[in-house]
Amino acid sequence: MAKLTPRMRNWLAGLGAHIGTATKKGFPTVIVVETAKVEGDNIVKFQLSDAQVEQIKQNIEENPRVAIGPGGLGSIRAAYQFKGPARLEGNTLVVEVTEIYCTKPGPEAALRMDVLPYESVIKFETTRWRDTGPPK
Amino acid sequence: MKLPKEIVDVLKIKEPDDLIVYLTTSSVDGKCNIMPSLFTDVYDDEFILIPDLFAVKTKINLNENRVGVVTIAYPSEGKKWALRGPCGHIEWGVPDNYSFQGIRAGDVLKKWGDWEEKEPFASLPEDIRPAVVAQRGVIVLKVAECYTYEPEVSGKK
Amino acid sequence: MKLTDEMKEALSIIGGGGAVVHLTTCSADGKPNTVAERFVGVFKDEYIVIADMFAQKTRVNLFENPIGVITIAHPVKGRTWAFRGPTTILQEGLPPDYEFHGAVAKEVLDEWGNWAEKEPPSEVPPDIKPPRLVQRGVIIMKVEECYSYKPEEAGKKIL
Repeated sequence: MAKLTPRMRNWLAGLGAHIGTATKKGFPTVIVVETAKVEGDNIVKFQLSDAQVEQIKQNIEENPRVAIGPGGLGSIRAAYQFKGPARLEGNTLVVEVTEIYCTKPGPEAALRMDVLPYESVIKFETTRWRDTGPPK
Repeated sequence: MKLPKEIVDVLKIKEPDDLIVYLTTSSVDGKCNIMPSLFTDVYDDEFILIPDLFAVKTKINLNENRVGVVTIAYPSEGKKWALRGPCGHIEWGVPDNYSFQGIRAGDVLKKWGDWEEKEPFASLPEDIRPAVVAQRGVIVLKVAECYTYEPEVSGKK
Repeated sequence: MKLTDEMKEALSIIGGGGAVVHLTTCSADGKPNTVAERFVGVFKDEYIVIADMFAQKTRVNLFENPIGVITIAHPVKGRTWAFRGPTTILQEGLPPDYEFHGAVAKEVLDEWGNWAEKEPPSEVPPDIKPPRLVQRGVIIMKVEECYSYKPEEAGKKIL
């Protein structure tokens, strides 16, 4: 099962994310949310505006699968992509992360991380990155 | 649609790490993929170009569903744009006269097929610099619409 | 397991049309993908290497489920072999001491990271020559078993 590391949590909480949604036939719409809350091992919650809810409501209803890339500098420095089913609870978008990928340019681009032992993901992170979250 | 100068200027090649965008694509059955890129350029004020350096699922998606969205990831202050439209990839090896949404493969590859000539990757910070660059081609998005992702008015044209 | 001399020979035909194999991988939830691979070689008697030039779904699969099967496609000449074992992609940028089932990334890449040097594009028949030899890395399989795919004895263990 997918388990987010502290570094992943810090970047998501600090800078939010670009969230890709699509119709069930694959027409994409992206929204951007500037902060997030990570709960448990793999639940990410985003607080949406009414306009954002309106924009993706239909997509989430017909196709709950979303893809998430960390926002701002996290797009490169927190080179992860999270995927999984999402649902709307009022204005909160609740994503259950079931897949985690590495997007760092280089040999590990596209590496699926949630299928690796958690300890090796932590080791991977500490050898590739010096920070544990976005700059304050 | 022709992009306003303000957007063209932001997306045009300047320095390697001056701008980061996301390209979102989707499989034909609606599984999204979101890929960061440090590199963008604009062709004919209408097409956004991104080198295909490490694209994996992006290309799998574009092979079955040719549409994409580019969003500005960093720095995004005053640039909260989502640019959506037909999206494809022009690989080395396609005939010069292959055309995608009105642009010729030969023209694109000749000018952008070796991105490193335009934007030296060596100047990137070490931890985000690719060890070896193997460019397979150029990803092209023809902008058909632009909406804002500013939370309160998200989706507004 | 060590590959036999006959196997090594079948897998290392450089130039002049070369050997073609099929590489089958599958997603973590079991969707298989089979692609023909033209740039094949052997590393240290135990590993089969393939140039990663165009891998897409193969890469996605190996990065979530690192196992593969390699079957001889051409020339077969009675060598109806299927090799199976842990498989991954090694690429420049990995820590030099990175190891995959006993194969050190740097040694593999030093030997096979630049296929165009071993097999200049001029030696590849023009109709199957890639437009550009842009190599991203090396797909490597540690061969753990070999079985026959000949219809009458399919699955029979060879090694």
